Amino acid sequence: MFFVFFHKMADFTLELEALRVENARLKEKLKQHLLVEDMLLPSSSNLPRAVIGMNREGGENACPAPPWIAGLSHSLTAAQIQRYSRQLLLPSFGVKAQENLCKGSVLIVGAGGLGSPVALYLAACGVGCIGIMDPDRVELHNLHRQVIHNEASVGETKVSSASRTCLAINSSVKVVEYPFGLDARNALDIMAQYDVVVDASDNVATRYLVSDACVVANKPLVSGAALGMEGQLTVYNYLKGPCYRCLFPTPSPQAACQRCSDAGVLGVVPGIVGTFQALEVIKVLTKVGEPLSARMLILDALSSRIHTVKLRGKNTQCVACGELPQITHITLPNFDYEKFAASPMSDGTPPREQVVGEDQSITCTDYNKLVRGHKSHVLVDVREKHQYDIASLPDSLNIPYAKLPQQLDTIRAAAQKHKHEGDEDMSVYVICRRGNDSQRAVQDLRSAGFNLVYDITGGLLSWAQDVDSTFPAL
Amino acid sequence: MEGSQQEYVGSGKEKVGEVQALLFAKAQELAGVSQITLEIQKGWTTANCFEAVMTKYPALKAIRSCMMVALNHDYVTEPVAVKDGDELALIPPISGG
Ligand SMILES: [Zn+2]
Repeated sequence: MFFVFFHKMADFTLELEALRVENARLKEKLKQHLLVEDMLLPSSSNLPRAVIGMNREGGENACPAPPWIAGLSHSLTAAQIQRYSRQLLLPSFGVKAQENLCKGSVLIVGAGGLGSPVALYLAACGVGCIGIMDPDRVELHNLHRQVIHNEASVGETKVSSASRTCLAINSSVKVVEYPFGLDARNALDIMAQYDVVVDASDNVATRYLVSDACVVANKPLVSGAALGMEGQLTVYNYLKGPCYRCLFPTPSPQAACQRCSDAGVLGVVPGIVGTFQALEVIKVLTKVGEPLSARMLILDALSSRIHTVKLRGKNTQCVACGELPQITHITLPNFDYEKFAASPMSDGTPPREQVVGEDQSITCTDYNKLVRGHKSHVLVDVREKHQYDIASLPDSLNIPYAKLPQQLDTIRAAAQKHKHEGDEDMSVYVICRRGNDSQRAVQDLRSAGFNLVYDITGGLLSWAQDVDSTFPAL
Repeated sequence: MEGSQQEYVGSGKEKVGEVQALLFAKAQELAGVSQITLEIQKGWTTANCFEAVMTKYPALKAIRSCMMVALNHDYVTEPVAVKDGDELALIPPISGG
């Protein structure tokens, strides 16, 4: 009895050992397999971190051959067929298109409102390698539109948050993280590793850079933009189609776009445009359908209208894609895009302008002392009414900057009302969101004959930072 | 951004028809309207229409060099003759994301 038991034990130990050896062999094989696949995908030599989904589907699992026959012409595994079955069933799509997606690689510049749906859908549909680039971290006010991030990712880099979400949806794709911005020096090297580039950025300087680099690197560019209730979408540099510069050779002048009254955006608008971008990427990668080349789709969300404008072909005079290009792989890395676009490569706070001198301004801290000392004065808030309605300082007078010239009498009347017997002229303080429009208002009011007018430096954002942290500065 | 706002621009001269000018993005914001009905005169081109819009809304001059112009959904580079019922679109690029 004891002997039999002992014998069985020995048997068992042997078997266990054999399984261990087999297990180690398979692990090694799997490792080799992953390495080979990595080499086939865009290289990650100069990259901080490449995240690879670990539950790779398919591949050789040392399983016996399946008792079914795959179509001779494709390489999809059973798991891939199952996962992508609903798009494989599309007659216009099929296995060939899916193979192209699985082999394809896409660089997404920007992991914000546009980049979120692009990355989500491209991961879901099985694009083999997705590069995500963004220098920013997730903030609470991103979440209404940047749906790839969530409350738990606030404070995290957008790329790591986006990559985690993509892999949660589809762990069989590869995501490469670039937690920094695209610039003239890194653009060509990074783009060279991808099949298609997606412009999901939020600023003019980056848009020119992305377009130029796509022309030089010869990559199709799926470009989307969204602001307020409007969206625009075009596939640039595709076959004989134009590039961004062919259409917009000169950037918008700074004056027209850099005001304190920044436009907001309704979350679904970039959501729709980004989803369209994902669609265009799929079409370009799979060669299914007709990409939006030499056409611009314009979304008017307010009236639920979509306009499609037929664009010009390549401009032969274009400095990027014309007959005598000035932008080449040699000149591009040294091109100053921020200077050209007269705006920074970020959507963050525009640089603070210095319009009025220190003698015509007061810090928030000093203004607060003045209020606490009950010194009578007039406070004019020159933000747009809809911004003022969100939150404002007590006893302030809302006169939007654009309406200032017609409202001088209102300010004079307010000054008169607060004036006591024997007072000198009443001081007028001007505030806005960031302190740029308010400086212009101070200048305008001084020209209109007001002598004691002062700018409250840094606007309500500084007020929230330096005086009252509970003030909801936007 | 008020999508329904419309304006009518009459020339006071011999009228041969009307062109609808659609303003997008920043152009709409600066002009405060999204659509303008332009009275056109004999021999008018897209360039005349464009200038008529600039005259009526001088604020648009700040972005005149960076707007795309499309006539009946076709991009135009050189002035093209317009006729009654045409639609002219002024499209500045947007850059948000
Ligand atoms: Zn071009």
